[in-house]
Amino acid sequence: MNLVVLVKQVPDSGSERTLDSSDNTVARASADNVINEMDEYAIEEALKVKEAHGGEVTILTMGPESATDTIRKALSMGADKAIHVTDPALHGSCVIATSAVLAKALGTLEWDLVLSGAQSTDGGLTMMPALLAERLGVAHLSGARKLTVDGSKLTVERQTDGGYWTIEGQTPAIVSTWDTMNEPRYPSFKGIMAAKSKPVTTLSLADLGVDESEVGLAAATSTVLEFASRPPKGAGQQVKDEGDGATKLADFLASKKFV
Amino acid sequence: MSEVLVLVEAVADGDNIGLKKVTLEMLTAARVLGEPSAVVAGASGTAAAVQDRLAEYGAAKIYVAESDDIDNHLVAPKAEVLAQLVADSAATAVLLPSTQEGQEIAGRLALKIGSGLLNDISEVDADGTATQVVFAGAVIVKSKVAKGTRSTPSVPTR
Repeated sequence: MNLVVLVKQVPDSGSERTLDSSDNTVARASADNVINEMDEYAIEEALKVKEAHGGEVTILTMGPESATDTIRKALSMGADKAIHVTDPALHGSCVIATSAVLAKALGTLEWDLVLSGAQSTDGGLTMMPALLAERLGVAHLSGARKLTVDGSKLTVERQTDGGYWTIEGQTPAIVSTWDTMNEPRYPSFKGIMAAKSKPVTTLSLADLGVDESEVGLAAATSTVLEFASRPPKGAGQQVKDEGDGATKLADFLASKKFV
Repeated sequence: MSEVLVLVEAVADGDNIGLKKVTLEMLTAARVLGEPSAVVAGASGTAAAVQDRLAEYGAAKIYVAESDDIDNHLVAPKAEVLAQLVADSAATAVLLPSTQEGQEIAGRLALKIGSGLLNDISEVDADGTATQVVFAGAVIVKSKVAKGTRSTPSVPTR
């Protein structure tokens, strides 16, 4: 079974994140960039499927040159090889254009199963696997808290608000994983050393046959008009009880329409 | 007044079928953009159970697509229903809940109708400018769809 894992490099959610005021895109150059933590569950699951059923695990990433670090991290966990789609014209691409590029990139590979994380922690979207399934005409089994592979048959426990559903599909398919699915492994020292020599193929838009006019900020289907940091919380108002404390509190609640 | 489609999020509690609060919030947001039309896509009997409440919260029209095929499959049939409605009506925007399912429907719908989308919006203005709170609440963004019908997953009170 040949597996592809979608991996994204994102600004570390533990450090300060903002947008770039020159074009209102995510500030990546100044950020502390890391692998999207949700993707680690998808990598772990792909490695488990490979260990049980054989095959190869390929990492697929679209992003600036700096995303090489993220690819090495994924390879050090045990993936076999990687495709890095990178092109200056991709800067500012919307989710729709990104899905077109990733669909093309998937077309250069032979695969049975694509795995993705639950969402990206920068854009906050839970949409990419659904967009790829729609473009490629394959099944999408989403929100997996458990995956069972039996030949070409896939069974997934889909996490929902109130419990889970058991859903079935056939390969080729896309499965998006939930962070309750497994415990991602830490790269071993051996894995880190081995990752340095694993093959990473870099693809440009020209390599994929995508026209520059279809991607990037100018072609984006949505636009960020402006952004601002959330204003800091102001000091609270103190109410001193001089026998009328209850009245003052009630007045405050009434003024805010709570009572 | 332009028509705005709202995908109804119904929830079954035993034999009772009710509406999730997000549906009412979306109807309210839709009234800012135009005239709300509720879209019920689910198991048979859903529309009958919720139509009075939908009307009470401002749905001028209710489209009903009830079928076991919708109820027993994940998102794809709902995206198809909405795409058909967009094609057959003069709808200028579609509002969906920003849940996992809502986002997946929104993505598929956007591709089907060739439209942009905005995710996880907390507020929308009459001209379609939406407010999004991003990076765990650190940054507030104003954004707009640049292409086609607005397909907008929305949790207005979030």
